[in-house]
Amino acid sequence: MSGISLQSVHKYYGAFHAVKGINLEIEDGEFVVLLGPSGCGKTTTLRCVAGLEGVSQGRIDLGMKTVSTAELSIPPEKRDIGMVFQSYAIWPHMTVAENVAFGLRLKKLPARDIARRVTTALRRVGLEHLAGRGASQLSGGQQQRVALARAIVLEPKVLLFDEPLSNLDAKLRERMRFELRQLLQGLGITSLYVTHDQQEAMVVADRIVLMNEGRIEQIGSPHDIYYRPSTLFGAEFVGLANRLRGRLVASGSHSRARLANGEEIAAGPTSLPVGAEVELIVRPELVELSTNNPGGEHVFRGKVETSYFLGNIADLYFSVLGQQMRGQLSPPNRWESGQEIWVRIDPAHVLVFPVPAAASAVRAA
Amino acid sequence: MAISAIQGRESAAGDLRLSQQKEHRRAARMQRWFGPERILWIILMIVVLAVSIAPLVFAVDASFYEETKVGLSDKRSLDAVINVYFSHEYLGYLANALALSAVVTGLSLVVGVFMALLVARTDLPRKGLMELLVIMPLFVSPFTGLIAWIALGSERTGFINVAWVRFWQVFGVDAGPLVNIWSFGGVVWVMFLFFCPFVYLFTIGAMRNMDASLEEAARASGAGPVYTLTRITIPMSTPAIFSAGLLVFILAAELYTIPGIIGTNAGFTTLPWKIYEDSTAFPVHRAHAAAAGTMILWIALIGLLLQRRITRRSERYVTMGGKGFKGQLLPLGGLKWPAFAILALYVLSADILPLFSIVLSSFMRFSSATISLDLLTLDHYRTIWNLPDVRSATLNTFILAVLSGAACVVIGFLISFLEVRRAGRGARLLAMLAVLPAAVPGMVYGIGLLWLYLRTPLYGSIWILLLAMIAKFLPYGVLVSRSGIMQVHPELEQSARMSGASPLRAVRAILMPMVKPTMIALLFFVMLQSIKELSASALLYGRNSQTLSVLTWHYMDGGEYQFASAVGVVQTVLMIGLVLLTRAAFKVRLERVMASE
Repeated sequence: MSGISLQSVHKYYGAFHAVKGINLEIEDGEFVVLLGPSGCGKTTTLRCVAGLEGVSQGRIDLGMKTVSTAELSIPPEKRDIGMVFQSYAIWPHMTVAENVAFGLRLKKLPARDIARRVTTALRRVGLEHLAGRGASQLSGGQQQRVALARAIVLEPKVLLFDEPLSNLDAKLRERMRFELRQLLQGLGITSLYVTHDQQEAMVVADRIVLMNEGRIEQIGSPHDIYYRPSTLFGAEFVGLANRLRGRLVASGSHSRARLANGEEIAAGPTSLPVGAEVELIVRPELVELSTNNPGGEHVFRGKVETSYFLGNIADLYFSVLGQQMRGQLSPPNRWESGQEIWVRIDPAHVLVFPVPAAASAVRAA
Repeated sequence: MAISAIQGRESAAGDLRLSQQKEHRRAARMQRWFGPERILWIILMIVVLAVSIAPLVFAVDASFYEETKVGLSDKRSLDAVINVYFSHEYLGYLANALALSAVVTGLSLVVGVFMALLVARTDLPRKGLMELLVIMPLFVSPFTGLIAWIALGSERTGFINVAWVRFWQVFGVDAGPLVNIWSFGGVVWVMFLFFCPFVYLFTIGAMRNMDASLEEAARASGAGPVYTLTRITIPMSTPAIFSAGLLVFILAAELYTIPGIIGTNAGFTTLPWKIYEDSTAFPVHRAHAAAAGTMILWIALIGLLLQRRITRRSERYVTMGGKGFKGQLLPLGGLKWPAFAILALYVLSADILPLFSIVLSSFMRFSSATISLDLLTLDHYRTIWNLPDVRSATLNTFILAVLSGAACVVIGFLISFLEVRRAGRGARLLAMLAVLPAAVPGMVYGIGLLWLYLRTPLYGSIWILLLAMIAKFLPYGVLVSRSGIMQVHPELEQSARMSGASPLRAVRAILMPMVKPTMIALLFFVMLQSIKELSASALLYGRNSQTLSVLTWHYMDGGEYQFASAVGVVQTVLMIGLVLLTRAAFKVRLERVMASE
């Protein structure tokens, strides 16, 4: 087993710059997820690690060994990797067992060992009973498990996953997340996993690498990525976000900003200078709502516009501070449109970001 | 009391509802049985029965009569059937045909799959050009190819042999001829050249549609590129390769023109050639011909059944689509140019040399091994231009191509529309009957039509040829338009209905524009097939209903190679022109139609 190291990896397709200098160190046995919107370069990065694409610039190491540079690309079969594809890529002209045994046969292992390892791998994914089944007679979830068994049976140094759950239905997808996480924790194989589904990323990852437009936005634990986003993109891509535009009137650990309607709101720490245009981000579930005035600081009066009952929570749109905000409440009380409410926004939950360059330029013009 | 009254009211309402439902259902049934679509079905069924099925029945029926020197008597007899199915003579011819077919199929498979692999999966140079040239033989009549190869490969006078002998003479070596087209090997060679593109086309289609991650998964499991090709790519393509092999086998088993011309000189006879002789050479043996035709029919039917099983199996091979990443091409490295040379050798043999030789022959005063300027002449073209036969043959060819093309497009579209969009047992049956002739050799149709229309004015006219062509090419019409219609999601038409369009309007405004490119390709494809058609035409033509194909056949039979070459050139120019026209004007690639069969 071994870690993965990417050093300023670039990938061009003709003039298109798909990956713009990725630096990433993945430790031995770590489970890292590349998360980002479609077209952010996460799959391309993964395919570079797999050796299915060459890199245009930079270097990739697997363990102690350099596998990709602009000049050199060790072919995928010599990288000692396992990979699970989005389409599962189960070979339909072979049985389940033959699919799993494919790589072992290539290694010319004795038949007894092959049989034992195939059985073990299939047991791990809970498909022992289907070993003799033709691969094309499987359901989506079963194919997914075969793909997983095929990848782990070789006991590779590194496992790669390319959106492995995105073709499953919602219920199964949710269950497979946990199964995958438990299985991989048991095996302890270094894993790199691509998805655009943030909940999936949260469940399976030790660390999440958030990508956007070919670059890394942030690397951190799921908790960090959610509660301490380092960029406005990160704050808005992961989870839900209320966005308030204002101007800083006080900076430092207890900052304050004046909003468009003239009211001031206390916010979290920032090092931006007083007078800077800022975006304030508040997560809907962290907004505290009540029907009578709780008193104290940071409380504003608002009015319910619409509310949606979602079962476990209520999704509430209300006007406050001269604009619309969204809140999520659990348990979901009944709310009436037009009802008066009190909104408490804890400054610790108000994240401060500079207004993106493009947006402020538009405003200046 | 109150409760029972309510119940009573409810049950009365229920009765009313029930009777309304019944009424609706009856109306719907009436609609189904006597609606416009039902009438359409009936008309199409009559057409298919008359054009496709009746000649088949008569072809089989013709085997059970006593023979006279010019045809069949009225008396029933089993002599011909017994004689054909149980005599060493006919079984020997059958064995010859099967052996020839097997060798041709084997060779075509090996070379065709190899070329498909090179084009689809490697970084072969000049790929675009090669792709076009490899399939070019499909757009040329194999018989024209034979004429060309006779000029190239005859033992003493063939251009290749002359060049070969001359070359060695320079070094003072007395070399013998290099090739001899007048042999079993020669027949195999020419048939291979013209059937190989089918294998190539089917295989490359399957390889292009394959999800690239299937191969990438093998690489990730530790398989090298060559191992991946042999264990994943080729096995995944086997259904297509098998289909192509079967198609080539059937085509080769029923072909009588090439084995006939060469076989009579090289001393072997295949069953299809015997059938041709039995039905045309005086004294004719029409019942023997028909009985032997049923033998060929068996081969084709067994092939069709096998094909169906393979298709069913291959449907299971459909895999969930990935992201559509194109897999990386296998770098050939130092093997790049040797691989290119193999393809180039094929292209040279199948396209360039034949074209060169047929054009040259058509300008030569007489067959000659040496070529000099004073041997060249335009006379043949002048002569054939002035021959009424050639003029009327050109006109006939054109009329037949346009009419059979149009008929197959219209009938094919209507049949497959009913089959796909109004699925029911009736529609399925109709489509099945219309597709059946795909497996029937052209000459069996010839025999059946001869017998069916013997005493009618159709006999010997071009209309009997038209009937044969429609029957023979209608399966393409149904299959191609079926795949075109299936690609249009029914919801597209249904939402037109939701917007207020009538069924007919929805078809005209949505479905027809969307399948138009497919139908145009189909039209030109059938036209090409019709221009090429020889196996039924050679049996059916009369004095006033010759086609260009028939004329080349006629001239070859009479030993007039230069005339045959000149007509062959005209025919080839016509066909290539048609292909280029469709490419340029309609952006339609005809080879795609063939791959979708």
